[in-house]
Amino acid sequence: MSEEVKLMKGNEAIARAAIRCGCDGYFGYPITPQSEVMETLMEDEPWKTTGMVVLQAESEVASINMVYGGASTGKHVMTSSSSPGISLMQEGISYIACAELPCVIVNVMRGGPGLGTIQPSQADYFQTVKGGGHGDYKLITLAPSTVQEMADYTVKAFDLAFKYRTPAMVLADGAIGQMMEKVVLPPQRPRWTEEEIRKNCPWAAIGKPASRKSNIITSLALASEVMEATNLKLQAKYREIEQNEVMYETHGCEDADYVIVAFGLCARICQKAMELAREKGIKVGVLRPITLFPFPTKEIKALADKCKAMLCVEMNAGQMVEDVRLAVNGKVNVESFGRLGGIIPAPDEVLTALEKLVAENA
Amino acid sequence: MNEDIIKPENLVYTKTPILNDNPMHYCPGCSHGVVHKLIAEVIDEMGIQEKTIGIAPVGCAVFAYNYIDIDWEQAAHGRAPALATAVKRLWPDRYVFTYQGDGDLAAIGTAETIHACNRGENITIIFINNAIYGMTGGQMAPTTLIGMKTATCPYGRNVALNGYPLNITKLVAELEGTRYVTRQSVHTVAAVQKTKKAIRKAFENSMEGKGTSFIEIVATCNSGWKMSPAKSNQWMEEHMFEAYPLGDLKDK
Amino acid sequence: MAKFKGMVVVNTERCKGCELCVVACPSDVLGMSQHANTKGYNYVYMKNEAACIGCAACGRVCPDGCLTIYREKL
Repeated sequence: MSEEVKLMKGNEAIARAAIRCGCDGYFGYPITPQSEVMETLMEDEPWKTTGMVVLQAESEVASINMVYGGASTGKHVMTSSSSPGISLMQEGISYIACAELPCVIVNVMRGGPGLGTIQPSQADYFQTVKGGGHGDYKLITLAPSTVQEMADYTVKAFDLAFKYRTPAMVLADGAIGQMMEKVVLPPQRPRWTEEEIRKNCPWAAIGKPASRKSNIITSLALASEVMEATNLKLQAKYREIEQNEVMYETHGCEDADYVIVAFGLCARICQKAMELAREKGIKVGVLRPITLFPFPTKEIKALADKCKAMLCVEMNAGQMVEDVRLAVNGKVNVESFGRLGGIIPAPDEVLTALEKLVAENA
Repeated sequence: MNEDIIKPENLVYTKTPILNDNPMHYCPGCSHGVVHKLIAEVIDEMGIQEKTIGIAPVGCAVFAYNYIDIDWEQAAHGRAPALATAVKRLWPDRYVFTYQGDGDLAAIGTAETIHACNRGENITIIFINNAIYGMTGGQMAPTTLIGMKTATCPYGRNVALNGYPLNITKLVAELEGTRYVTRQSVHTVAAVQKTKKAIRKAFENSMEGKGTSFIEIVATCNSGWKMSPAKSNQWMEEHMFEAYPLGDLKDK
Repeated sequence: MAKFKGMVVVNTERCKGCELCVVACPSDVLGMSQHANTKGYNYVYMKNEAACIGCAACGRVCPDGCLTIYREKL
């Protein structure tokens, strides 16, 4: 398959990008608003073309553990779900992180807590970047804001997951999952052969030849010293990821007196709010973290040296704002504006919040 | 005396090298050791070390990977069949087996067990049923017999409080996806030989694409049961086999 | 008269003294040593070597793979 331009939903883009980047296996469980990921895969039947395995599991718990099993063998495997389903997966994600396995997890967020709503939300920021499951681990987290980026970051997530042997999450929301936009799909990348897996993943548990010791995928170490060493190794890896992999974009920040920080869909809304504000003579810029871990701490800090105040806009009660405040470290005021329960903030609401920020920090 | 017969040509039986030299952490007389040895012997005799992937549970057998010299994955509690499902589907030419205890397979992992078997995954499930949680210190298992005392039913399993022992093997045999379901033990030489045959058959089945093979091994936990190993075997014969009778439940 | 003579070689360091082999032996060959290995287990030994027929019952039931059995036809 060569490059292709199509109109499709964000959820479809994830599925088609996965097939095209040489994904070996998808294991999932239906949940709104992301069910189209598996539906698209089942419709496309990639096992007939690329050989990709697609399986509907009995639960999210089973899905993530199928991903754990497949990832242990050096295969490109993934799952997708939405907020409550991702909560169920947390134990498995913790195992995968500790066992240092690459995989991709897509979370098309909906409003919580509890069964919540099927409407879009960004309220899983904490769950995603602050651990989620037990123990000290991090997830590389990519936050798309367009349907095109749903495809691009699915591919990017696999690349980063394999580069660092760590799970990577694509953190989207129900709106991006459901909205349709033009997408350029990448040309088909072949799946890795067994030889390539042997070469690229010498750690993989795929059967022990006489020439090497057995490969054991485990997250268990009863001796505290061993477990501490494992943790330190993970932390060193996370520092390396922070050094190398920060992604963000800025709009109008060069001359900005006020900076909005927003990710995913909110960043698009805030760009509109920025335009409205500039029409009124308020110099506003937008910084959009693309990677939520690693977080663009340095870049936000640098902006804090130049601006008068910051506004963090999220579809939650104020989660990322904590990391923005840590980055700014008291240099300027950082306010939070958010809508909850599945409501997407409108640009004029953001403008109102901005005007309040200006009034209080001029 | 007989030392003069120690010659390679006279060798009748020795530990297979697939069971490595690491001393096993199991209590003296634990059934796990025998079953580990049988799996290792089958892998050795079939010549499939390079093609076998084991999935270890949470429970006493969590360290199975330290003893059988093959590639392993250590699953989260109860999830071994989910891992095995993915491995087998992604690597259809590999021999994939799970090794699970009663708590892992029949309590926390019931859904994964039932659904892997119902999908007819071409894997081998080895299920050690000693009616108790060994690793955590002898608590009640789903398979604990009525009246049997454990740390969490110190006055004996009471149906009104704890429900009935779960005969999951019988349930699994009812599923269309299973091909071979058998219940064995390892308390005598004859039983050991039968169990070994069952394991070999299950491994061979897994390459024929006709469904899941499920082997329950009724076993002892002499520390948990607070008896000597020999007495445990006797107690198992007298009490466990009534609730969990030995033999094939399904072979198609 | 037995038609075979047998010999059981015990890996005394690996043996945990569970005695299951003692029970399994049809010829009452095995007993428990008064000596303990470095882990403190009294290991199994051939108390009645002459009776051994090399049937390997002991080896097969041994949970720890401690026993190697040889047999020669008489």
